Amino acid sequence: MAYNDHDIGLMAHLMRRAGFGAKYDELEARAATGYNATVDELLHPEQHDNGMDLDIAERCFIEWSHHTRGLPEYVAFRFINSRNQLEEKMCLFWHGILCTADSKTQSYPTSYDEIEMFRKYGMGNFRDMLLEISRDPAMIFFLDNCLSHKGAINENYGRELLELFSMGVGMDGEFNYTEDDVKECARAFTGWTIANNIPGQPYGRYSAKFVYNPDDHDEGTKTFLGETGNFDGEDVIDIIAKQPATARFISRHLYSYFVADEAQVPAWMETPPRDMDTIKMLEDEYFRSGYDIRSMLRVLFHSDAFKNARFQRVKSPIETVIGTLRLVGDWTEPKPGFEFIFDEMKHMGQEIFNPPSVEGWHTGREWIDGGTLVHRINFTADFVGDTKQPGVKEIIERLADQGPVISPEDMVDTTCMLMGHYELADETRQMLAASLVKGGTINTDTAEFADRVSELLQMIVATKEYIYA
Amino acid sequence: MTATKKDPVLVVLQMSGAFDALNTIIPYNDPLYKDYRPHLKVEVEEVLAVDDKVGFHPAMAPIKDMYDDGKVAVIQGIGYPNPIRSHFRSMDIWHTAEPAKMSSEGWLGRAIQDLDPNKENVLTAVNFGRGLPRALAAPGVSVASVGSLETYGVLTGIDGESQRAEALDIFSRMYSPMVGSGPINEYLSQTGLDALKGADILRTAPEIYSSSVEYGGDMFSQWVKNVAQVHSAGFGTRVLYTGLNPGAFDTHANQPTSFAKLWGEVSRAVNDLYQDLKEHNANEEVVMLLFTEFGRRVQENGSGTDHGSGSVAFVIGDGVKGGLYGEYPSLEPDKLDEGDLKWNNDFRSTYATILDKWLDLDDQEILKGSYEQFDFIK
Amino acid sequence: MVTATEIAPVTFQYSHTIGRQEVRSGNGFFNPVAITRDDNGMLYVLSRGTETPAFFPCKRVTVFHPDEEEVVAEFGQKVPPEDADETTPNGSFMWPTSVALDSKGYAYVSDEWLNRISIYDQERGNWIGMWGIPGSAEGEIDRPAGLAFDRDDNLYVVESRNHRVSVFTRDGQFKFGWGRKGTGDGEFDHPWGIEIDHNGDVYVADWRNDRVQKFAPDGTFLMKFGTPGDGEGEFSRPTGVAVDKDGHIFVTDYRNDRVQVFRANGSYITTMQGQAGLSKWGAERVYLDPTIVRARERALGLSEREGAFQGPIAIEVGDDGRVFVLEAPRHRVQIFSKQTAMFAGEL
Repeated sequence: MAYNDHDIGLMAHLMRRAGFGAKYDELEARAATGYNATVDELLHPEQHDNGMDLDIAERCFIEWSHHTRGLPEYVAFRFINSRNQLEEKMCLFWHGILCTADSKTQSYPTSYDEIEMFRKYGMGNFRDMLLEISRDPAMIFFLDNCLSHKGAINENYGRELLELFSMGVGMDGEFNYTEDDVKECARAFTGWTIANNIPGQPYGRYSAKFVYNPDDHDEGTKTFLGETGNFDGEDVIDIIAKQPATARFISRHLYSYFVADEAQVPAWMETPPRDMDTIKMLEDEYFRSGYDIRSMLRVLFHSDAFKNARFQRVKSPIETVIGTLRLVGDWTEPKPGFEFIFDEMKHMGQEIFNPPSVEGWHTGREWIDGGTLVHRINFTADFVGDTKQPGVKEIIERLADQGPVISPEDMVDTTCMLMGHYELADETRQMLAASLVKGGTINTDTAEFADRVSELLQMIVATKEYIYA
Repeated sequence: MTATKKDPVLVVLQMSGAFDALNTIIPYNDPLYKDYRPHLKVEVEEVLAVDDKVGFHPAMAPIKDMYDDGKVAVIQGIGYPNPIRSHFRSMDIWHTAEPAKMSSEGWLGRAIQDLDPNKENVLTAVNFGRGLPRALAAPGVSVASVGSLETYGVLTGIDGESQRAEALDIFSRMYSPMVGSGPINEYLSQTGLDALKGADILRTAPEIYSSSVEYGGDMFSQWVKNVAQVHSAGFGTRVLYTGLNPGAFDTHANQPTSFAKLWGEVSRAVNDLYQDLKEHNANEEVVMLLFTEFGRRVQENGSGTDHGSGSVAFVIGDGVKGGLYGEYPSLEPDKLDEGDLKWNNDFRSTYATILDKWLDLDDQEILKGSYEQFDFIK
Repeated sequence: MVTATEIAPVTFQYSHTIGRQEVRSGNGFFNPVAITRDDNGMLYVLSRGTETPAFFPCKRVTVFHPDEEEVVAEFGQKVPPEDADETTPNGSFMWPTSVALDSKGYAYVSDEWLNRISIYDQERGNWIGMWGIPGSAEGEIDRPAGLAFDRDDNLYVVESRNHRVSVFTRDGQFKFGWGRKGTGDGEFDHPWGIEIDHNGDVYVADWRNDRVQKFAPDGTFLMKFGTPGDGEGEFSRPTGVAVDKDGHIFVTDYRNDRVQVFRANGSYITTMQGQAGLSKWGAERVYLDPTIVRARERALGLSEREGAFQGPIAIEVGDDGRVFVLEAPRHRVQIFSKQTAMFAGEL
């Protein structure tokens, strides 16, 4: 399907995937700029102002100073307010793959350094990212590499680096590496450790620091994935980066995050990708570009597979919460009470900085169970139903601009459009319209009009269709 | 097993924030106790003595009364290997029963799978509180998580009785599996309709319920009341879960005041629940497990206590053989673990006892291992 | 003005550190943002606290003796965010920013969310009154930050979002004010801290302009110093300013994690980097836990990293030459004594 560069529906799709969604006025402005130009802008945050007044936010939320506390809220504030949406979305992408959990690391300053590393390398070279995560103090502590010593290795990091961070257990039904590779990998990373950190008492937490301890590094010869040498961690990463399995692994992750829900990672060895052509295209770009994530994203966003994949992903709780706040225009400025946001994401099943395991969050349908579904619907409905929210006001005004009377069908269609070109099943659309008919003629210039819009918005976010992005 | 014909029910009361075990079940005759607790000690004459060694905190009189009636098993020295002093991780360990690795599945989630393998009842387990504890999570397990029984449901923000009724009617039709075509349409339909059904049923509980018991006005007591309401409504719910708000018992400072207040509320709620169940002739059907994520440091910090390890848990009900279980950890400085009470029984022993002897489930499968059981279930 | 010629460098002798992270109340602070000292030498530290509901209370003023290190009073209370509006109970804080004492010893606390100045008595910190009308018209306030009293008990209020200084009587009658948003002389960009010296001259930490401005008591612009950066005499978001009896100007260079000291004419003298050690209140906590003691023994570069200023946010200097530097993210006060420099010429 061919798209116009200025198609607002396509822009809404891009911003839901490459960002956390956008209000209609932003969609219009970006569509006027054009799809291609917007993709370029999103891919190059270093060339664009993020449009945030973090200065003031950090003054109001004083505990963000040195990031000793309040990191989830800080990150959420950026998700909501940064104009460089893809940069933020990539931080979340990596946080969900290269997982560490604060419940173990217990140092927000260290987690902050990690997120900043994701920001810096998130759209760069994947080899560099693997190197950085291997030197990342939060990761070294989280996966016990600080307990891995010459002659007494702890395999935890060596294993997860292969299994969950770069290659995956297997591909096309074949194993990607052996247990010996895991051990040799762990040997190569001996001596990659952290300095003993300052405890959080009495003056609050400090960030942990990477150190390389040559005395504890295993200098022996290692055989890893068929190559033999006196490998250091960096050599191992060079070998990993050039594996076809690595290209497949990272391509599948990008596909699942940006295009359509893939099976859960542990099933990847046996379950083929749902769209092998697109995966192949991404794998080719991985090697062509020399492992460049930005290049892969560019190819992805310009692919028909991406453009046609509307509403093929279940929104994660973070996407739901941040997307809702961006839609209604709330929390564009600091005010008291921002900490609620952490609990909302958590109660929907995604506690930022505390993924349930090193595997990260399971996605797709696993986001949804009875409890999280009710929470998701009610949270979203409460915000879109609040006619004092600026984004809701704008929707009401734009609907009223249609004339003094609006037909039920037009009201449903236009509201869906203003929410980002949501597509409802015909039956759903008719049910909502029929319900509006029961309420009598829709006069847009009456006091009760806002309430009718509010109710319709709440019904739309309660639909099955709205669960997807 | 007890003689009751009805299915056994488990009520879990989670005391978030880590209560101070040493001031909960107090080794009041140990001279070291007073040394460690110059400001926080409970005076001997105030302790509700169980024997010549230990006794309950005075604010726990309603639970002590039940203890005297033989309905309270006190599990002393409970803990888990390699104690971690993080609330989150520690609570995770209690929830998942996996001290060694991170896991996303809860021990009760697996129990619920066994209790209702064919997912016949959307209300096999109900949680009262904000957000679902990981203890109840397992693949395919749907648990109703209720913030407030009176207002539970979807689209609670829609005002007006007829508007709300209309909204729920549309919701049920929108979630028909015949509508829509998304990748997981059928699953979403089922989940949505289950949630709606669960809410519809749950909402009737307060209407059916009447009782002479008056619960406290605090949130926890209200949730405990909700437990009684749901149980007495006869929905077939087997696991009911609730607890204190996060951090409630995290008494780093001003411990004497807040600690006594919390135990006062909790103890009263526990006793109220028992009396309420009795009034509904359901006292023999329910056993309560009351736990916290870890103990607190033996040495006080002046006005409070910091995070420690070894703790105490309670199993309460008519089905329980009351008494002291486990050993009270020694207060001798060289017997402490980094200044903490040293645990001497794995929390999974208590879980195994409840799963096997009370719920009649396969404890080894659920806990992925075999743990020595207590005999606190009749 | 000091006209003497300085012939020896100004140096500082580290004395001790007071504080620890104490998230509810007691011997410590929680995200402290302001400090002042009364005539008896008692320090008042204002903790901004956190909005986390579990940490209740945590927003408070702690009054303590800097040498005996004993808390003598705590006052103020936290209001939950959802109740932080015009109905907020008297005496409670949402986003408290500064504390100042009038000549009778009453404490005045500004709150930049509630747009209030709350007043507490000198005995037990009981709330006795408040004033403040939100807005941008003359006599109204928007986001009050720094507070300072002059000798006649006029309260100078720095208004961050009105980018000005407004002067009120103790009971809130507006007298005069100056400033507007901008980068010119006498203009501000989200100003924060304020100090009034022995002559009644006024110093304002012009936060987002990365400079300090000095005014006559009536608001007449006198001078400015500082530009953005991290070099000598440059600032990154200066928050607090204090002037001692010698006319030396101390500025908390917040984002640069340092305190800079200037001559009365604004020329740079030296930089303080901090050298905190384990405080008494900190030791009370640390020695309860052998794991923390061991972790401290093992920690790499502990004295260097822990000693250094992080987020110095407010500063108080006394006529006795003592300097008190408050660090928000480290919940502590570092105390120094200025070593008397040798002067030639007339003082």
